[in-house]
Amino acid sequence: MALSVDEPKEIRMIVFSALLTALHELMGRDGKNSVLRFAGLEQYINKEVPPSVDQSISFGTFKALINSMQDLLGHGTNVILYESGRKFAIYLSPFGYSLQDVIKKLANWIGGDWLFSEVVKDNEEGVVQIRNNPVCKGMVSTTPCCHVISGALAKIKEECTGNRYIVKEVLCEAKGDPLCEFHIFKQKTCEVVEDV
Amino acid sequence: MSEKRYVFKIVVIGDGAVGKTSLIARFAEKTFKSEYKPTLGTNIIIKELKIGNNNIKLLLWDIAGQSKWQDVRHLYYRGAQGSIVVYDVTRPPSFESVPVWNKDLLKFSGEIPRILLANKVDLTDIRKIPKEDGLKLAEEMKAEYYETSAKDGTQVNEAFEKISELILQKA
Repeated sequence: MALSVDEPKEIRMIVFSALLTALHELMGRDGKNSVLRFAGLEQYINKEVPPSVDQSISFGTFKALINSMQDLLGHGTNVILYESGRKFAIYLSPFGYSLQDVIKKLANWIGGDWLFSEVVKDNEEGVVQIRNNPVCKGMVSTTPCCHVISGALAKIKEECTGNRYIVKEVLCEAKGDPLCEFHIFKQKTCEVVEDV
Repeated sequence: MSEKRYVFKIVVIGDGAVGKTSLIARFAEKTFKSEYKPTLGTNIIIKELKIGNNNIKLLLWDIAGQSKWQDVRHLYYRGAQGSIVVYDVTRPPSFESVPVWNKDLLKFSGEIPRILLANKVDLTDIRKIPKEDGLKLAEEMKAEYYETSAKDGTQVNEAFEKISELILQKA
């Protein structure tokens, strides 16, 4: 399959490694292996994937994993993908970095054009926009589907502020919007994260 | 009539070592292994099924029965459209914990179709839970009841087909 002009050819290994570690923690060894098997990535079953920022994997491998997660774990709910994203953030970046810093890293490691804007409005604290989002590249959906990114943004924001956050994706390239847009809300203490 | 395609998520739950993995393997792969290897987290198996004009892809979530997975198990129940609750007819504690599994499931999945499976009925000499007790519990749970053996295949296909039909009726 030919890559389009704006499609990244490679993804840094640290991203792939963090996703697999997150899956292992959330779904157990058998859950992670189920996702890999469904993705056609059996070569990574029971294999150590180093969290390297120097080594890369192909964009196709990354997409196969993301698509498999969407199909298997995202059926009927987005909570599992969202929670995977929260775990993914933990392994992707050391705690304490600001959201802006991590977004810069993500843009470098995954690709896409990322933009963070600070917002001060009720309990909303920020908006992240991504053009050419590699996570939903090629997907078609009637609703926003980048729940892994939503969960990751929430966890990154939490780690650098100590507060709890909910991230809602309101625009998504997969449903024909010109970009993906995520709104970051400070969570009220009694709020429970349901399907977002 | 045109063919329809569906994807159903079914969670298979119950105490450790009641035979959940073996039941799925019997249904999906027509195999049986006597050695016990606990599931770590959840194993997801895909099985295609045809009921009438409906092509159904089943996502069978084989969920670890061990208590160490208790904290994340509620996540696995999300989005399930049907459930199979399994106990081992030779081990009364696995039968006694069925209501706990059922309650936990209902909390996170709502009133989805359920089937109660009394497994290992081939072990007639050491069976401890009679059929009547299983039927009574199934009635209380508003679930269908099947007596199965993953080892010899008794009623396994029937149970999985039945849960698919029940979900289809609601689809």
